Amino acid sequence: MHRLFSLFGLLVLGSFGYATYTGWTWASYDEIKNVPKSIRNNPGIYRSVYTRYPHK
Amino acid sequence: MDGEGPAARTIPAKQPAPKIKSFACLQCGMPVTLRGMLQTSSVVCAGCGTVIDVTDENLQIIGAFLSKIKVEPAIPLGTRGQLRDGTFEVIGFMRRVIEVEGVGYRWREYLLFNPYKGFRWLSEYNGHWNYIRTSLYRPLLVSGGAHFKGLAFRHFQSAVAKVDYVVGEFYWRVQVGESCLVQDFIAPPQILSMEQTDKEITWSLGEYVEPDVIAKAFNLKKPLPARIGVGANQPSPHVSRLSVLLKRTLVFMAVAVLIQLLSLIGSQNKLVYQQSFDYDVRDSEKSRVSELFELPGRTSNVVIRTKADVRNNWLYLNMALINDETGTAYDFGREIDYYFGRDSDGSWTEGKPSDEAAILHVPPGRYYFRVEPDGPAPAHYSVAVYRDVPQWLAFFLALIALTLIPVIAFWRSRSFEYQRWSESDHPSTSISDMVHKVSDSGDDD
Repeated sequence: MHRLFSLFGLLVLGSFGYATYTGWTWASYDEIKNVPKSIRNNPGIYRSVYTRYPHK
Repeated sequence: MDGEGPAARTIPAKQPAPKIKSFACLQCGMPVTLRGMLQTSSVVCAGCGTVIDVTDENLQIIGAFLSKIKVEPAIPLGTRGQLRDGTFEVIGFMRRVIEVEGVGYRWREYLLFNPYKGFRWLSEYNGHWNYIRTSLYRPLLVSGGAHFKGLAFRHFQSAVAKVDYVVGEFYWRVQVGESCLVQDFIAPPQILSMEQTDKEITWSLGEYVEPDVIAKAFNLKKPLPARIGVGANQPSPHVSRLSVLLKRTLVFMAVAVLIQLLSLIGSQNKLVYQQSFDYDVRDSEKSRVSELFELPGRTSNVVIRTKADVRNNWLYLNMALINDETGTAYDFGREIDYYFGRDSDGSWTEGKPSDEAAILHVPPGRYYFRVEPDGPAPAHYSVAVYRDVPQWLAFFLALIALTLIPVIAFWRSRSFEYQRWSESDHPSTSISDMVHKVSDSGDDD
């Protein structure tokens, strides 16, 4: 029981340490590859997926 | 000294004891063996239950058998066992009963004898065993309990107990139907018992013994009665576990706090881009892009904080953080809405004129930001992009996860104590009461 709890505690601390290092928080977004560079010259040509996340 | 013999009970004045070791029962003729040497004062025939006074040279009959049933002791009379303070022989057995709300609760008591150590008792109720020594010391009775030899005992139960079956030798003239007031006080694994009759008060101190220990001590072949529920003074296996768990939880929490502090100190939390825009519903092109900016450091998060001067209105922002070198876009949408007013309950607000969103695992590089607003009315809004911002969510989740198992352990411990006290005169009803009892239940394993 105590060993299991120690293992669990270390697992939690390890996960927390990793999450802290990477700046993890609750987030939701779409990652889109190969967006054309021309968007900077003509922003209107890019139409995103309009993901509404944590939408109030 | 405790339990050095029958002294704790009323012992008949010294008189010439019959020098016999066995005789035929005066009632049924069955051989009756005396094992308690000169210490016993009565013996109950195993064959017919007749109580015979063995302090009288003529072996007078004290009483007849009142019970029609025969109870088989789990430890047969005459069995010898090696207990913690010597070898003892079972010389007497009786069953006692208390009645609570019309229900009879029975337990069994075994009188043990060693010619050099005197008498001891073993009691068994619902498979829970106690090794008991009578005490010459009178405990100090206090409100709700008793103090004895530096230990605080809590009152457990008071009841009138009657002997409903008896066999073997005893150091007093025991008979079926004999009754006394019994009060039990507990400090697990110990139990302090007071037995009061019109003539005397007897105190005894018992200690919980695991059934396996009894079976081994007396080399019993038959299995002992199975344990049911929780014994009055059964030591809680959860208390020591809980204590260790709490200590380790505190250590883990301290490490988590340290990690969070290091994160707060070590994070860049750097503003890398900030810009204000105006939105007009009549604009033909509503999309805006930023200048290129650098996201420095290691792969980390990016936090986008937006503000808009919406009043009883909303503004939806579709945003994308785009890596200029790789063409990877992190695309997301957020709505800012802010409503306020006043009604019969007073002033109220809903939403807020600012918002925050995070993008995780963003590699370093050159980025630009695209935002496309949408809304029913013109608005002024601003966007601020921060790099490597420390977060609190993981910290709080870690704290919750770390307390999860100790909380479960506490509830198991509470359940154990609840079962213990449900058999007492003070069944627990409130959590605070249980917390008190859990903390009082001792830590002896």
